[in-house]
Amino acid sequence: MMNADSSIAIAHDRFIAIAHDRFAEAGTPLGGVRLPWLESLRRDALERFRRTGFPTTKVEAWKFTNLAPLARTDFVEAIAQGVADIATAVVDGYRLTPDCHLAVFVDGRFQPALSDLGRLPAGTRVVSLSQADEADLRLVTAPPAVDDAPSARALVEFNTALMQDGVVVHLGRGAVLDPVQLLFLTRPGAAPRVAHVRNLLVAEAGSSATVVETHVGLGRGVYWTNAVTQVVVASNAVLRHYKLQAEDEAAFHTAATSVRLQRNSAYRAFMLSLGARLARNELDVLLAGENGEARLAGATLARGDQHLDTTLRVEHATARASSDQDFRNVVDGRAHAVFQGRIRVAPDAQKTDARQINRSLLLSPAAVADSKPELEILADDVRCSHGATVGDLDKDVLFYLRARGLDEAEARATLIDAFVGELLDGIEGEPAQAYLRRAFADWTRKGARP
Amino acid sequence: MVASPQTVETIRALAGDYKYGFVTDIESELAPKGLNEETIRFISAKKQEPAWLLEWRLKAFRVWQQHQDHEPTWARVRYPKIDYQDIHYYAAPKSKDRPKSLDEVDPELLETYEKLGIPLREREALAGVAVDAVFDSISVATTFKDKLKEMGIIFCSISEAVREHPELVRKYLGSVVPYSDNFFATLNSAVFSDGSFVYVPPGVRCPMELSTYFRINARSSGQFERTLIIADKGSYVSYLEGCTAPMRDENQLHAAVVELVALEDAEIRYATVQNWYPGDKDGKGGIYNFVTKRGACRGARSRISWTQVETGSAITWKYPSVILQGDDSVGQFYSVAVTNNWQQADTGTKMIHIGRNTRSTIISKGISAGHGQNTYRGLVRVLPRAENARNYSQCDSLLIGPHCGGHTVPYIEVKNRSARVEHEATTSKIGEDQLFYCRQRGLSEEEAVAMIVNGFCREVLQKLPMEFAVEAQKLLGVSLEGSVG
Repeated sequence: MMNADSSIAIAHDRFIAIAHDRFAEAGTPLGGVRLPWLESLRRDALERFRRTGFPTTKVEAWKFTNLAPLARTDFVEAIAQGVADIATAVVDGYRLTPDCHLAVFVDGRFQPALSDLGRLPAGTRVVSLSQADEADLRLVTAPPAVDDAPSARALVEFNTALMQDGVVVHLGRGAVLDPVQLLFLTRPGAAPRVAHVRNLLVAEAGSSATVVETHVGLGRGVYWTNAVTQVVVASNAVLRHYKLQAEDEAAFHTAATSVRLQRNSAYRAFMLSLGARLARNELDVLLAGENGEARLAGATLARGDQHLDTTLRVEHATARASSDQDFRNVVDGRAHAVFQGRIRVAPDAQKTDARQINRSLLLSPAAVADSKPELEILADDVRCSHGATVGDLDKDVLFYLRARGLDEAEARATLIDAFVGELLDGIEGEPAQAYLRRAFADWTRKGARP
Repeated sequence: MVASPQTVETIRALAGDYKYGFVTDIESELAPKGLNEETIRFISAKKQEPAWLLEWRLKAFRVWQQHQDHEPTWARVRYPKIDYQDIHYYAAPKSKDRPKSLDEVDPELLETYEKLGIPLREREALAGVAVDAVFDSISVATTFKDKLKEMGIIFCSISEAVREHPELVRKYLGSVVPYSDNFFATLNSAVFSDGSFVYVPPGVRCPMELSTYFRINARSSGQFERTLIIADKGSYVSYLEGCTAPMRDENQLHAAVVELVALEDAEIRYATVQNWYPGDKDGKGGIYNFVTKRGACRGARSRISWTQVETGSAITWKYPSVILQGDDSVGQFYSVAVTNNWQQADTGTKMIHIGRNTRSTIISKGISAGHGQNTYRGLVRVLPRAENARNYSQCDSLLIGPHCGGHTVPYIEVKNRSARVEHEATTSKIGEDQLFYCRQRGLSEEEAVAMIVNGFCREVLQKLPMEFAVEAQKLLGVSLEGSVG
């Protein structure tokens, strides 16, 4: 424990030094314009990060996920290198559909040449953070939608201090954008790189969009993606947000998505996590308006030595909103899956309907699953429930399939397929569903290899 | 069964708002306020303890001293800072010699028991209950001892056990809850005053429910009970613990430790009805209850079950746990916790699966009313060697009124794929339709609430021994009085 802590402290000092250098050099303008409020906000964020340091497992929200391997790594920043020499064919391999709207980032930097944003419908705007206006910057740097201890938010602070690029997706009133893909590609370099990506998704009143976010590593190697995404869904708007985390198996992926939902709006998310050596996927959802609806689902597929963490905080701040969470883990090898989900119902949030389910399948003797579902209810007229199960595949069901002529491996594969497939059925829009199904199938095939 | 209007009225008539709110005036022998090595030596000397025990207390004290600024803050309870130097750590009813029989007991004490309805004299033979009544910190009377002695069962105060059976105490004391376990257990280890000791020899089935009534009586004397129960191979014992305390404005600290050890094929059932003073309607006063209860299923096929009905105390911080070490051992936790007015409860259990084929069941019912805050906090951990471990947990919260809170914080950690762990939790309010149905059939609103709450808790109440079950049901009704309408 002492070792891990002290190495974190060393890494922490190094990062602080880098950040200070950066501030001294350039004054950290985003979009080329110096904004005093933004500069002081970033300095404050750095100061807070300096105070708390990397979260250790003593921080309640990080109890199950030890960042020591990340903190021990000597990262250099992914520096802008102009146009990335990546073939379009490579990009096409990860593209949602051949003609979808597409914003491509390589090593955390926007690549206009690889992107396909020429045919955006009226009322929509998809630009890189360097082209963000001041209103965008205010939204993208807003504090997380749901409260937690400052020490739990250190990576977000770190991102705020060091963010350099990201994407802004803006839908005007009544606009429709279906679908747009945000593709983040990373090429592992000679030295481990870190990219602090900062995104903003805004759906104004009555708009509707499907956003598919993909994180992929191009080749083997250590790197770190630290993404922070702010989402605002205004009244009567619908946002579907599907994320595929398929980083390289030597990589680190930490992401914090923060969602604010206004009256009658809907946010539907699906997160498929199968990449990275160590990943932490945080999703905070604030139901701030009546009749808001959050439908959150995800599958974590972990094998080898992977450590994949999903942490949710859902806050019902208003009456008559509903939320539903269905998260499943498939854990093989010596992998470790973590699920933490908190539902908080504020004192006046009467008539709240909140549900959560977390199921984990342990496929190998050394697989580990930790689950911490949490209800914090301060209003009485509510219906809230959570459930969690952990175990191997059901022996009786396996027997049933074997009796019908499937061999052990086929029977197991069929059941795992059904376990995850059920969730994938809930993804709206054929392209997105097919895309994530493909990713799941690839994962299954890779596992079947000797 | 529901608290009938008569019961409710009788109780009201008896005690105003709190049935057990009275102070018995008995001269106490107090240790000076404050906690230091001297206090510990004083307690140890008072109790004529052997050197090893004093040494053990001092070790605990040194650990506590190092951590005295690190009182745990992770629980969802808020209370003003406790001044540990402003407490008497020892208070004994003044008596020259230990009474040999009930006749020698101070009549005023007996009167206290009468008011509480403790079946010391009347029910001695009738109910078959052997009572080791703890009045403040010293046991003043034990009954049925002879009968138990015949069977080789040791049931006495822990101080007596230290004198009479040092080898047993030395072997097991701190073996389940080490002196450095946590802030409050460490404090207890340093200053524990008295408590009960039970040893059931191999193959013996204890023929009666053993029970102890804890009372907190002397003004600002924290009570630091230490209970140790050992069920040797193939034995069985059922232990009942019921608590009441006099009404008082000052907050009283209570930090007890209970250790259970079940060897091969042994079974221990431990039931608690905790009804200490919860504070008044404005949250003034009330007991602070920081308890460490833990059982170890050491042997194969051993069983430990905790049943608790927690209606009292201003603050409850309590996690009766089971370490399932032996193969095929079984742990159970059945709990009802009620928080009304400004009460806060953070309670739950830990089930640690170490052996093969170990099973655990957790049923927790939390009821919040008024400004009460009720938290279930539990851990189910399945270690790699625990093949075929099985856990089922169910945690339900019932909310009555718009200002209370019900929280559920389960931790599930599974390191063995053959495990089956299931957890479910719900939070809801009393259904309008249920209330309407009862009202339509002529029940008053309070009766209806009491009936619905009793139904909500049935799975737990059923696990209580008979005499407790009746009391507990009435208690639930009384505790929730005034929570609706």
